[in-house]
Amino acid sequence: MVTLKYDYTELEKTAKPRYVSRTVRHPLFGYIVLSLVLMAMQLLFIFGDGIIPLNVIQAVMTTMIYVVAGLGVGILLMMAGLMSFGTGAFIGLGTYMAAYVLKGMVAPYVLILFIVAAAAVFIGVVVGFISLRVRGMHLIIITLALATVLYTLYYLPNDFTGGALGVSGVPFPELAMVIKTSRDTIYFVILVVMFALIVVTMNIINSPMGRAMLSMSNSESLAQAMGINLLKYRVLAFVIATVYSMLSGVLYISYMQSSTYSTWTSGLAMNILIAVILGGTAKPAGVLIGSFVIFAVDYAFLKNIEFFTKYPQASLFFNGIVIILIIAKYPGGLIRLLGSIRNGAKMTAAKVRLYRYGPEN
Amino acid sequence: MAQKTETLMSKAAMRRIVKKRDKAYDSLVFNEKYPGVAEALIDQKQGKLYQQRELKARKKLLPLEIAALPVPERHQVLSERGLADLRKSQELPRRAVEQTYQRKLVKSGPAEADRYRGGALKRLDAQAEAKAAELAAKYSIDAAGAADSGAVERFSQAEKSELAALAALRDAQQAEKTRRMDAIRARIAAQKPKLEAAFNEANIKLQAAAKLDDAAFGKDNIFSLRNLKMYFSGIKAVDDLSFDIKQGEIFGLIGPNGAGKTTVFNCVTQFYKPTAGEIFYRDRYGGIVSLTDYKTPEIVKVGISRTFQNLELVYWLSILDNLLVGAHGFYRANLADQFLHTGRLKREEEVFKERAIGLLDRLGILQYKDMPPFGLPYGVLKKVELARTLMSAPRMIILDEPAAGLNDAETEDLAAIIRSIRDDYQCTIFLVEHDMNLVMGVCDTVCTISFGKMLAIGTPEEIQNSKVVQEAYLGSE
Repeated sequence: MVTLKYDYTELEKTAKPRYVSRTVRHPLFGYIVLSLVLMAMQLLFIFGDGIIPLNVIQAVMTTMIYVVAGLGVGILLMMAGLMSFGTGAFIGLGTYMAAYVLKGMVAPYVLILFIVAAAAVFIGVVVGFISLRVRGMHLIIITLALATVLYTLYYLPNDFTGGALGVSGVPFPELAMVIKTSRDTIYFVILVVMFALIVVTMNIINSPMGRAMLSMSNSESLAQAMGINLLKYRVLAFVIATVYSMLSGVLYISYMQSSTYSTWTSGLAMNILIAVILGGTAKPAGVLIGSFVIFAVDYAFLKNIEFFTKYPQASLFFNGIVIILIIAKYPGGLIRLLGSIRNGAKMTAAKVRLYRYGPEN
Repeated sequence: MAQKTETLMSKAAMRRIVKKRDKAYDSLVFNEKYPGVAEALIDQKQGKLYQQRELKARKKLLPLEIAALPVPERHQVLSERGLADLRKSQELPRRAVEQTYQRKLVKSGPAEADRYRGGALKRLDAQAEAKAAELAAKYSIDAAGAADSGAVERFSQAEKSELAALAALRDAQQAEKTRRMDAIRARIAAQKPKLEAAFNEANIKLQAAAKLDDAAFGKDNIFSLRNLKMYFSGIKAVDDLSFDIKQGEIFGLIGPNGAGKTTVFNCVTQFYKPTAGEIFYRDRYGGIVSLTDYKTPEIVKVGISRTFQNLELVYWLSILDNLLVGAHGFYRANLADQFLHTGRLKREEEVFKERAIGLLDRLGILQYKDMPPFGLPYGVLKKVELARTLMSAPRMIILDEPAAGLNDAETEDLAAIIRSIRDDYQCTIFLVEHDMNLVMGVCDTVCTISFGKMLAIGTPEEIQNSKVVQEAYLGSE
């Protein structure tokens, strides 16, 4: 037997570079792919003639806007264990503030986002302190009351919200004072903001802050014994949720160009809440799937069916059935569906291998 | 009691200074730990890169090396490798044939199955034989001859250049590592005087404001309970309880059900604010603090860490992340760092993760590190809780019924762990326990209370022989 100096059979086992699996396993890989797909869809819509119907693009746009709010609600509900019905009202507040700024002056979009976010931090702190001593059902009632107060304020005649008529004719925003956006290009702005907030959400979940919120919702005495200041993280959760909601409002007004009080009911908040619960996790994947089911399905698909165009209210009926089925089948949320698909694929592959080659000896 | 009556500063001011001091101290601790962790990480990363480069070099050199061999060896090697490839390529088909045979045996009887297997194996064998014959013809062992001088030349040249490239890579990595480590060390050295000055300034202020001096507290003591009273609207859960705990001892608090043991714990950790009395503690800087001045989440920063009677783990986090929760108060990364995952947070996470992995390894539960606590054995989860208390580098650990729910073997194991933790981490251990075997086996001092009042204190033997204690547990005759 000749021994070779440069035999690499042993080395290959440990040193083989795994670029592909490392890329695929990156936590943001799926979101990047999704963003690219969504971007390609819009490009096809603009340049391809009628390949993508308008209602699909509208559905995607609406879903993306509400996903941004849903991410905040996900952190509030799934990480910190708190529930708020004020989301809808805060999205509305975001739209009115952005409309005010957009109509009044020419400001770069990033600045508008920052102004609204700063206002949201302030409001979030206030709400957080209001809800400090209450939890469970009483907290829900307080947020519901807050939402109703805001709703009524929007409805009352005033210059800021336009009263019952609402604000309309808001110009499309300008990015960095130079690039004017249009109905087509605002899509990309929304996509970029959504992606940035997805990254921030992932960071929150994987940081000491996220762990602190989880332990707080798990057991308050544990959290306190570990040096976690309950007050701080409770308020922080509210602040994050409020900021996300109001940013979602900015995105809404820059796409829709108008905002009326009747949209900002607690029903919208409930829909977003249901989207998060259907997703079953604070992770963006869950929120995305849940929001897709709640907001996109009837826009994108049901509108093509004659029955649903004839009776628009029937889509709610359909939504209800879907929610019941999902909750019954996947009480842990649709994120479990992803897991079970992955597991199922693995199991099937293993079964095929066993069928073909028998057990490994 | 030589207690200073005047308080030199308000509670809020004190808290501010404490925060400043803790931050400076945490930074100093982090700076001390970080270079080691960073070096290990750089080594790991560079080692991997080097291995990959080496693999590439070997892949290039091996064919050249074989070509440069003299003839009989070259032919031997080439035919061996050819045969090995053949074996490898036939491995799966052969297994598939065997599996299909088994299936056919059930489905269509032995005759049909045998016929199938015979045919299939014959085909494979024929293929193998053909290949072997081809190899034998191509690389006959009988042929002899010297190595091809051109090939030898090519091989030696390639070898030289590849080895030079590898050496260059190693040098570059070494230089890179030195550069980065120097940068880290320089940054740390630059920070050090500032941090130390900040720490000392705050520490001197705080020690001057201490309510108790060293002599009154006791030089060896780490903890002192003085006339602690905790009343719940008339019910005297703890009534005028006083005792001292010496540094480095294992102190057991026992008593019948409802004696107020857990209430004492909750008073110490400030879950309850005592009705009256003082709790003094020597913090990690040697100063004496009154625990009642602190809020509940600040207690862990003073250096007291606790476990819970019922397991309190976060079931949505992995074991490793559960341990990181224990280090929560010691992160210096602010909210912006956490939103954006800046380098500062990542560096801190590396240091804490390294500590967590070290602790898990120390307690023998490293293999569970990525699992959620669901479904893990109770003994393992208890150890996880212990490891979590150690994440905050405590000077006193409070164990609330650590043996509850453990079997005899696990309890013995636990006793050994408690002792070794005390020795390895220089901790004082204060435990409440019902399991008398554990208490009598492990404790240096045992204190018995009943209805919030002290019955007896002393070594385990003294307690066992004490009449009062026997009466409290078994009732008087």
